[in-house]
Amino acid sequence: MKFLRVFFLLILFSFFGTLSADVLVPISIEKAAAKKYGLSSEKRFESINVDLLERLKGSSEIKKLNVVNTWVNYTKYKSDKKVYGVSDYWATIYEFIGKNRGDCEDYTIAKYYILKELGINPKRMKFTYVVYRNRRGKKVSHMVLAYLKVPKPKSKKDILILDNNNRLVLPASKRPDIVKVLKMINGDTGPKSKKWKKLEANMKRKKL
Amino acid sequence: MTLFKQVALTVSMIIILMLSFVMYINYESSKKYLVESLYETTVNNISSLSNKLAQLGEDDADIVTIIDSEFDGGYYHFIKYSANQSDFVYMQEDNEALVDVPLWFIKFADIHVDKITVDVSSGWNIMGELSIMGDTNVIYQTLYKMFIHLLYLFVATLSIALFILGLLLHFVLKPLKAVQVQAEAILNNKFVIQENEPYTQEFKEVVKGMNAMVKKVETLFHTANESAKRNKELLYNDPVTKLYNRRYYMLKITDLIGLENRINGGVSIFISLSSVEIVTQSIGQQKTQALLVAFANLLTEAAVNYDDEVVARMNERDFAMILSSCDVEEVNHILEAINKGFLELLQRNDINENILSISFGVYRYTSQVKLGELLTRTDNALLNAVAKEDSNIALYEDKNSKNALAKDEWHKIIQKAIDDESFKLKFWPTLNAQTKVLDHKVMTFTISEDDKEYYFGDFIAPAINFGLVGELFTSVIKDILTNRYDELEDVVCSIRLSNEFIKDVHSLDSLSQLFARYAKKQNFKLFFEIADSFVIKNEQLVKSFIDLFEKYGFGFAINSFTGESGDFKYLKELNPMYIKVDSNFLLDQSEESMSSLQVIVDSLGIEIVATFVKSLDETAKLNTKKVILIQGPATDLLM
Repeated sequence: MKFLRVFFLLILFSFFGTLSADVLVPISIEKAAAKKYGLSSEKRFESINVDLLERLKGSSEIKKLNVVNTWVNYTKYKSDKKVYGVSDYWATIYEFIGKNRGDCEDYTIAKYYILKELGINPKRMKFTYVVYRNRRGKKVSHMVLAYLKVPKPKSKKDILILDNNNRLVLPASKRPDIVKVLKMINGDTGPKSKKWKKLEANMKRKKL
Repeated sequence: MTLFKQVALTVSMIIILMLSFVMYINYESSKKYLVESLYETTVNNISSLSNKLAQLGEDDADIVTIIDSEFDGGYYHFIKYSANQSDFVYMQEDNEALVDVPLWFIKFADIHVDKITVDVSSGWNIMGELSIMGDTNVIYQTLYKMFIHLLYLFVATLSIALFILGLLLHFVLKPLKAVQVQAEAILNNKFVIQENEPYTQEFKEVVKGMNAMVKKVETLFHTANESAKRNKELLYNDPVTKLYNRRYYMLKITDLIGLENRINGGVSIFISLSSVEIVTQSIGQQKTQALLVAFANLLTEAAVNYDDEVVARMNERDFAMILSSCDVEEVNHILEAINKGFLELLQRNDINENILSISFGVYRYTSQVKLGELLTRTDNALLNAVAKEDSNIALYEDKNSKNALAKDEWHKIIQKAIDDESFKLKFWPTLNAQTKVLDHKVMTFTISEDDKEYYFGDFIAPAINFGLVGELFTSVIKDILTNRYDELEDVVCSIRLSNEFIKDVHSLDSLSQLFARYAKKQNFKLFFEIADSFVIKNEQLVKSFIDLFEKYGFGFAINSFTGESGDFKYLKELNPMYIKVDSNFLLDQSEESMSSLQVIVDSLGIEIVATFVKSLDETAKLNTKKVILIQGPATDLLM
């Protein structure tokens, strides 16, 4: 009986040990990033843990949204073609922060996972396909992370936009540059498309 | 291949084929269904997407965004839009390699889906063309998973099916095993009756048939055995005393004097009773016969300790005994005992010893003595005994002059031959007199020493005396098992084992060790022969030797067969391959007794080999008695 009890406890510890180790940015990722992309990459991952995940732990949702949006937006924009050699690729947060570059989808994905880790309800965060008019007046296809302040928003004011083209988190009503919203989809809580499945698989194995 | 294996293999193949077929159908229908589903889904999606594009108008950003959102949210290989009014073309494509599916399966499944193309129209305006190809990755992954599951199912089902099949076949074919055992027993000439009839109709009929056949043969054997017993009694037994008669004595004597033993011979005794006729007149026929029976018992008891002996009544008043391996000292004690017993008989019957006296003529012979000499010398001894006044016993002793070496010299010669394994093996043929084809070869061995050759009869007695007979035979058998003799290639070779060797307590173990070490596959078949008289008296001991021979694939046969036992059941028990019988014995048989013997040996699958066949005339006579295998000088004339 004693043996069984010890065995059971060992199983329990190993189970919770695994859970606790399954944090968004484990130390191993920092080390691997340092090795692959250099010390600055390691610092960025360290910063996610220290400046975002730890510091914002008890902060309000708005503060979390703003700080994360600003922090992620410091990453340089680069098209998938230039970074990955393909026309469209959904990078993991590790690839995006590690390489320190990516396109609008990569910003959205990174923000989504950090905010989810900070306790923001993932069902309120929508991957939103929009048509955006840039500073030169040209309409381009774009993706932003939309945050629903209430579960069922009644107006544009109830939706906050986290966009790599804007350092501020503004309500949709104050974003006239977003000329058309074509689709809003859930993150990993919605139906799993092929892209999502791939992303989840890569996130799981912490593809750097 | 056994029936069990054949049925198991066939049914297994059928099961494998059926399962494979089911698997194939399952796989193909699933593949077809999945491809069909993908096609239908793609048709639905293209219809929905073309509607959305039509609503949005011809703004490139809108088109790109909606295609991106559609592509990201679904399972597509590609989505392509080409505008009609401009050269705008937008395409989202996924060319990444398949994960979780091995390349061999991709080649094996080889799935093709066609792209679906529709026009995107807004009102009367055809804006452009939309093409979509569904993602086959899903089909590959689903099919691969299904294939693996089917494979597991196939292996599990096959294992269970084969296990059940094994049990079922084992259960169904169990009676066949019993039939096989019975058939093997019949082939080995054993009378095995299958008591439990199988429930399967066909097997039941077979078992019934075999049982009936075995019973018939067994009945035949028993009838012939009883007949042989009766014939033997009529032919070879004295009707009053039941001792052997002169006829049997004359047939048996040659075998007995030639037997190897520790003293290289034995004693021949003639016993004569005087005035039996007067006694008959005096006490009557009945009492005289009772007296003679009692006297015969005295003689039989006196000879009981000797394995190779004959006690016979030669005529009204004369009796004869041959005690092989009995020496002079022992015979004196035996005769004293008979004498004493005889006097007691006279007293009991109130007969004066002057009226009925007894005389013993004793001849101590050696194995080299000729039959005529033996009879003459014993007869002379008897005449002397009758003439003697001081004693009723006269002894004539034959000294062995041939090869009369000192004991030490014999020991040295035999031991040297054993140590050096220097026996010279000789082989004599046994022929089929009709086809002149060799049946088997008989092996004998000699010792060559200083240009002199010593025959088996010369050295066997000293070997027995020195306790070397075991080593001697072991050495010779090892020789034949380990050395290659060209004359033995693809033939049967027989070795006659000495009675003394079989009696030796170490022989069985030493033979067993010898066989375990050297009895590998030979290019000839080896048979061991044991004398009939020894077999009858030592059936269990001989059986243990036969078991050993069988274990190593050697045969067993009986030689010097004289039908001494009268009851031939031991032949059924020991099942020799052949029996060797002196040609004189065979020629002496009446038609009826020969017929009984033939039935017995035929029912047991035993062959008769006639030995000491001297001439072609003798061979012809033997052939008329259906004896065709012959051994002896006549084989030279046939070859």
